[in-house]
Amino acid sequence: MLKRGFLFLIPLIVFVGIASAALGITPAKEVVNFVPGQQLQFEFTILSDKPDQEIALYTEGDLAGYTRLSKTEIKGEDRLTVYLSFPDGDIAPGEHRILVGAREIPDESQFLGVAVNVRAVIVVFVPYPGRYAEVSLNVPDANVNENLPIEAYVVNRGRENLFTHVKVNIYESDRTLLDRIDFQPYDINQGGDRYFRKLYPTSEFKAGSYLAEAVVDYGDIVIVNDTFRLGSLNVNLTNYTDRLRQKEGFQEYNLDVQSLWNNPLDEVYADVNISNGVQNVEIRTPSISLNPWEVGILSGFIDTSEMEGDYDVEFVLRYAQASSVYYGMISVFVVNYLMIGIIAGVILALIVIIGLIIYIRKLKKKVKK
Amino acid sequence: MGGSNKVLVVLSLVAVAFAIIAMGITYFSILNLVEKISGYATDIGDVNLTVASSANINFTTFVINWSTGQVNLGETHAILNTADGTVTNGNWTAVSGGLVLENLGNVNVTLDLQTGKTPTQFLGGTNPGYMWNVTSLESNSCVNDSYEEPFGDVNFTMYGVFASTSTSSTRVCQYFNFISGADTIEIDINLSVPSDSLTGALTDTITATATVI
Repeated sequence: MLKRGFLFLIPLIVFVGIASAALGITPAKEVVNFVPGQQLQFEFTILSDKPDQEIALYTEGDLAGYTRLSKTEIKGEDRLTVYLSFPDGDIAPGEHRILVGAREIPDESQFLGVAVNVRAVIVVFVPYPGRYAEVSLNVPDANVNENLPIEAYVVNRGRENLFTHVKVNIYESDRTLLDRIDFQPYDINQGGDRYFRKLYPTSEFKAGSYLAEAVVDYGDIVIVNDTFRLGSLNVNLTNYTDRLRQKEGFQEYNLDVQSLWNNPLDEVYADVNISNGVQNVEIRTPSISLNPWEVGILSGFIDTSEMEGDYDVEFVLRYAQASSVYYGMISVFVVNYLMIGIIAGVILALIVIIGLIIYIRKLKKKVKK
Repeated sequence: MGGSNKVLVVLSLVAVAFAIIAMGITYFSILNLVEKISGYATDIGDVNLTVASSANINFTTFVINWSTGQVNLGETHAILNTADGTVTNGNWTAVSGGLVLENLGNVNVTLDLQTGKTPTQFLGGTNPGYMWNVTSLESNSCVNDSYEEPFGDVNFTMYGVFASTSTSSTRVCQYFNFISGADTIEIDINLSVPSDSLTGALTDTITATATVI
């Protein structure tokens, strides 16, 4: 029966599950420091919406050989204990990941089914020889006059205690040093960590972009940096429609704006005054909302049927009981259909003439022959 | 003072003493009660709360049912495509929309997919096709290291276009987000069923593996 071109029945091709296919594991992540010979145990809960679903449990990763599971197969939701026995000797320094997995065993009654496999992680940090610190710096955007929450975070990943001195330098965007913030020195034990936090007043600062640089000195020096912006209650006009065609009916007129404020702004709109000394047209755009630092488009509609030539434009952007004013130009041009027709006619005539010349030459050649 | 009067005096003194003690107990009890349960709160209270992290994914659409069908007479292949919702050169029932997978947990995960069978093992016949195409059903659900949807990214060849399935674990999303409104992807399937395919119940399993980052 298996002949090419003949009809072959496939009774059913389906993706079938007997219920929804949800599988989870909690907690998703555990973090421990390596201590030779230490024995630990971790409790996990396997979440499943199918009470009869067979689920295989396993561990993976380069340290999986040091683990033992309380069970390797369950049905539906259940708990799992992972026993971790670190070796007495050293293992490679750095971060190691042990994956703790729960995998649905596919139901053999399915034709073409789905199966879910979820894996939590036990992160094991093995200290580096000597002194070693991981450093991060977090400085969020804020507004001028607000207190800026500066946060440096130091984790001791080495085998020695770290006597840590942290300072944060604040630079303008052109790397001009503006200020230096010193924190109290702190002794971080092996495997320990420490947040260095300070609320920094910004009343002396202007709105704009800045760079923060954390210098962490624990015998060695680590430098990390982060950029941040200080906002002011202002909406900037970044672009606008500067050419429109004269025609009947309303045309869309767009203003590109950007919030320079680190809080949401509602009811942002623009009054646009277009004039050339003779004519004066005023439009108001519908309002929009802008998230902090968000770029948006204000769209209004304008009737250009009676307009022609260059106009001066005044844009007044209004928001949160404040406004900013910008000036520009707009050109309303007329499409000259007569000129377009003449040019098209000339081009067409040229094509016809060239065609005729070619045809006549061919005709002459034939006559000569 | 007679003996009975002395007894009465002693009893009275004892009663007065008890009354004073009772008043004291009542006074200090009320004082204590006021500090404990009334709105008289002058101290700073701590609220301690731990939210457990959870990795959890769910196939909210886990059925693609093309029903029974066959390749049209004279055609070499029939194409069954869930992205277009079409069946070409065959009479299976068209299915619009693929498998839908949601990150229900509260952590970002990587997502890998693999099939249990190759096209030949699954469909058989001459030049069978078994392809998948992953897209974010909710924008930015599935992103790469640059936190962009991996259209055209050579490391995610099945993103946004149909590519051949693989029986090896294949990375689909570097970050499968958990944020509500950006946590759902769709896996569309395109089968090219040859006219000389295997017949009967054709079975396979697609495994989705989510790993905590």
